[in-house]
Amino acid sequence: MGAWRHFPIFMITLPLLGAVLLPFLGYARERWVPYAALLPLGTSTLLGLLLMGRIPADGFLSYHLGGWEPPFGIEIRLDYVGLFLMLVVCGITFLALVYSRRYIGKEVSGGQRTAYYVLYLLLSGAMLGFVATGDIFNLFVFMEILALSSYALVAITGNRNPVRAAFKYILMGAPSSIMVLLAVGFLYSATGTLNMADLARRIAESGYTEVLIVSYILLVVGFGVKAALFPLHMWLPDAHSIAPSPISALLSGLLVEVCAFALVRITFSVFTLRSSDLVMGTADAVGVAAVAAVLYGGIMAILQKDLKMMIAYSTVSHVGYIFLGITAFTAEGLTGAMYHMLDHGLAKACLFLCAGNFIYLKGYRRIEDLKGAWSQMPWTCFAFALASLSVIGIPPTAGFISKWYLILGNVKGGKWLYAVVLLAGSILAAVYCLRVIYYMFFQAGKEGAWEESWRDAPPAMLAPVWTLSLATLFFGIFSSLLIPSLLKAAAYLL
Amino acid sequence: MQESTFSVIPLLAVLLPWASLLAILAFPKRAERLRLWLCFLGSLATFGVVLSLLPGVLDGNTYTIKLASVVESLEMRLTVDTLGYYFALVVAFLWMLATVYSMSYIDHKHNRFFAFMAMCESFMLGCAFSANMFTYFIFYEMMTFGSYPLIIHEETTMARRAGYKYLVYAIAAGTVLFFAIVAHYFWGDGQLGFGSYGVLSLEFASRAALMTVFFTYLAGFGVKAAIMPLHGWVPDAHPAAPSPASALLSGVILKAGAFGIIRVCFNVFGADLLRELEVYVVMASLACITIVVASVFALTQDNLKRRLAYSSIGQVSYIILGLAMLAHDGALGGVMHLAHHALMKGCLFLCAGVILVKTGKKNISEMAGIGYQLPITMICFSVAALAMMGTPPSVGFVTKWLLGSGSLQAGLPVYIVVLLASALLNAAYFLPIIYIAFFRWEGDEVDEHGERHHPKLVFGKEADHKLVVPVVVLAALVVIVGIWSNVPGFPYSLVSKVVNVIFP
Amino acid sequence: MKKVVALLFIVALAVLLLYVVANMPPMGDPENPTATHVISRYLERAEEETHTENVVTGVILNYRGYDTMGEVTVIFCALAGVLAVLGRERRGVIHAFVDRSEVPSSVIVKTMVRFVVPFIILFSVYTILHGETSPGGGFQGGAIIGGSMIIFTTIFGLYESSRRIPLKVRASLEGAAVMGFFLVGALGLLGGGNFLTYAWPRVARSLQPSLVVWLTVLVEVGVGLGGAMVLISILFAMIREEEEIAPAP
Repeated sequence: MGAWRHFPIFMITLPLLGAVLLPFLGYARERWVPYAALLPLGTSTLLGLLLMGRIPADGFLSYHLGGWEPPFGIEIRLDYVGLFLMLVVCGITFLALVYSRRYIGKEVSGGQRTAYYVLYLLLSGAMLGFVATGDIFNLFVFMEILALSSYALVAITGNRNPVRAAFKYILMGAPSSIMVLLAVGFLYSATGTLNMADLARRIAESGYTEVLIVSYILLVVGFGVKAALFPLHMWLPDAHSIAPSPISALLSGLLVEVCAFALVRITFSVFTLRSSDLVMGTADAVGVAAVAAVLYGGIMAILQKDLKMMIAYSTVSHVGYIFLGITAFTAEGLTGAMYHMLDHGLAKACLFLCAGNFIYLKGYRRIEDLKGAWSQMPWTCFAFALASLSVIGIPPTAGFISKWYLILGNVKGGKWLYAVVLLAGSILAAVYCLRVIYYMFFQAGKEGAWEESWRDAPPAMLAPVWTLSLATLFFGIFSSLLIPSLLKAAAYLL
Repeated sequence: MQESTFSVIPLLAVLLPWASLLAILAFPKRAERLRLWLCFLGSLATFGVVLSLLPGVLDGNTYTIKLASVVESLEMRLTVDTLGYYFALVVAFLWMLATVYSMSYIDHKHNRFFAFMAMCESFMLGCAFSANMFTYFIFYEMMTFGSYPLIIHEETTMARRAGYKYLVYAIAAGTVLFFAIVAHYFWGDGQLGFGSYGVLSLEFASRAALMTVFFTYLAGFGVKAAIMPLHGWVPDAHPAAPSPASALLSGVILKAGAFGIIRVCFNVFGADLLRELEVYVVMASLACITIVVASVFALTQDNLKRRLAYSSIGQVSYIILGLAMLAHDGALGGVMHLAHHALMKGCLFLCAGVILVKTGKKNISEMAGIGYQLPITMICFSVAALAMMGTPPSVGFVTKWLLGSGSLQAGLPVYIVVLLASALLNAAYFLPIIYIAFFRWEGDEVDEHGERHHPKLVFGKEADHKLVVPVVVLAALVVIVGIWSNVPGFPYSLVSKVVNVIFP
Repeated sequence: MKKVVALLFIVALAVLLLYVVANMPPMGDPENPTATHVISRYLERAEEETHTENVVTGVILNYRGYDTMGEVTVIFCALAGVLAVLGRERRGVIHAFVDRSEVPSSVIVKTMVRFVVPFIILFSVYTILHGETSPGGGFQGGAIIGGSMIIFTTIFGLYESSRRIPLKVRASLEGAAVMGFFLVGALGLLGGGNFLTYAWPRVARSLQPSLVVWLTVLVEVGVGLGGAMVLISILFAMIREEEEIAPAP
């Protein structure tokens, strides 16, 4: 065992440490804060990449914090799927942070900028810790950090609408946190342990079935709110569309998925499932909710006039995709869900950042304003188009690969209806995405909407946008880098 | 399939069109002409590269290159087999001519048009060289979206509406197709590749399952191939698109659907399985209905390109009908018609384009006496139109002959009635055009004595050479290929190899 | 309609929770899963393993120190959130717009507060330092300090109290809790163990007990100071916000 054993904890604590140290820099040299904030996230990404080859697809890395063996101390239990998601988190947070410097420099007033970066790093670190942990109470703790920091980030401009959206978010988020806490408490009372692996063993032996059922339901509902699963999604469109664009990218592209992943953990690693009827029953309900999410989100997205609102509703729809992958209970379905977390993260982040470019340069938020945008902001528009293709799931983007596995997984699980719903979802996605692309590329803009000078967003904003959109293409073409291992890891989880 | 040799040439062929794109990006806006010539050179080079494979393919070699793979059974691979090569040759050739034509025809937003032309060519060649359904689907979808800008290039309201319709149909079809492929993967035991005798069998899946796969494939590809209830986008898209794009739409892009069906019939299901499933009955009846009904619709159209579009709908179904006969000559005629129709319809659409450019006339009723104004064009038009009716010696005749012979082999002479009806209807909607063009003229050629004269034949003042040359080349080939079909590289030499294997 | 739905939801949730409570293991039963599994080791061996007489402290700072690190990060995060939305005074700017006049209150109250506050703070120091042997600890001590400053501020006003604890001090100590954990965690790594290992494997066994105690105290102090400063900063930010919205007549 080399030093790499410690990498996961570094990946988690570095952003948190950065968050604590940034205020000092903020007082001394505020201009340097955006650059300094990149340092911990960059290092985490690097460490994650170094770790990539070390964790086998059918194994995990267990790290005992404080040296206490698992049921007594806290354990970081990082399997291939977890590391995969951690890397997604690192990569996207890093890129959105690069983007933030210019955007936040304009949107957020001077005094709050440092606070923005502090919260940003806290959110990133919390997501990493959340994914990696092997302890259910620890999961709750990190969920609190990420929830709290995301509330604040939504409201950061301090204007009326953002604060209202954040308040709505808190109103839904706080009860959901409490539900998770209650569920953790119930689980502890029924089993006497908090470690996930230990829980799985003891749940199998535990006689307190009623307590277990209710705590599973509470967990599903609690994480369901954070993951914005259909009937619990009400906070999402407001919060995601009103937040500053890099934050929208993070919330839509990562937070929602990370919370969905927590449910994967709970379902597959804690309630070792298929044996018990309770989980299957709940999973059926989740499946129905996911179907509703796919259709409802898609239709609402078509109806939107505001670009970011449309992207936010698209997220509601895509959360449904992820859950449909999970409830398929096949290795292919789970692989599809995991890969969808990657490509949806990349594509959604890219779309939100592109929307941010329009807001940054022109203050345009409505879809109609984008008519003819191509002539003046070609780079942004092309990146937008590429990411949209991934959202629709058109080959050879990564969206296609994940859709393939989602549908295949559902077909293998005998859920033909769900497969059809997934296809319907991609038709809806085509409608709302292509409308925007059509406006951008094939319609003439209004008089004076675009001044004559050729001016796209600055390179510091275009670089992350293009990295993200090219990444959707890259992971579509070179999906063989990840898919075989993911399939193996998914089979191992099941 | 036999062992294939590794070769980068298929990849090169797919990538070469992108060189045109680079040319557009690399040279400044002022160097417009230089860019256009470079685009042409790109398509010429692509054709050259495709052609360079000919000797090897005729020897029965196959070439393959793996691009990427998701997992073992899901890979993106380009393979040049005889059938795919045949399609690629048609694509590259027609594309080259259309590019020459476009250099003069397209008068605004060159960059966008040529960029998407080049992209679509690349994707079409990808379709042709696909080694499995997965790859085929990927290129097919990209081609679908890449051709949208070509259709709406004019940016008129009509073009937009047509483009919208096209997208609706294409996305719905893509979704159905996606479902078909997943079902194929699921019931085909993870086999998406093309086998010489088909890969699916009743051993792994039930009858109903295979029927589902087949009909979802038929519906998915049927939209592009314009099988009758699914043809709605075709008559709108063709008149709206610029003429070179319509020529490509009819000549090649509709064929991508038909080629998909050919692949499904020959290489996925195989003749025996189709016979066993008895799905060919549905295919044949749909094709027959399409052939007759589309021709009747064509009769009622006054807009020339719209009439040609309906004609295309009917003609593509010849291919489907030929396949559905499940007989040697039928299959041969059907698959050969893919190239034949590309030549004829390509020529006709390009002629319509010349007419539009020179006179601005779209409707047949306005074209009185146009043959005197544009003699070469209209002669070429007449040649292609006669070929469409099946007049010997031309490619149209070859098709009709083979299909007729095939229906006798299949023991179903009823198809001959359909073919004859179609020939009759073809004559009914093409001959009036020729008649109007040459034998009716408007009364404006009245001399001072008040007598009406023939308008004078004007040679040499037709139009830009870039417009006329492709038209003439295509018209010449309509006859030449019809006579010497066995010349290496011409349809018979390639298609007979494939069909002889399947129907010995 | 909305109210009815909300009511139904709450009733359903209440029924669900009551149902669970009715089915939970009986309270105080020695055969409970909670009483037999992990807890037994904590109770039996915490003292020798964590060298803290107070088992609760041993569990939260040592066995489950990582959770506590998360919790103090939550507190820090809350402060960052408040400051992000309400904004924080720039260096030295606070006095410019804060009402200098003291809150009108009687001399008796003022004198009492002046007299009592130092003792409260002294008690909080005791609570913090004694956390490892008796009930108490960083969280409680920090809260007591914060409470004392709340009393002070209500009586003397923001101006006076922000002079007592200037921005510089607050700003540098707000992250103390999290940094205390990071420091101990990093030292644990240097000492040859895992992150947050108190008893460094590289140190002789005989020295380990005192090492653990010192490190525990270090964390306690960090948590106490950090917690207190966070409370005070949040308080200040909120008062300032209120005064800005409704400036004194």
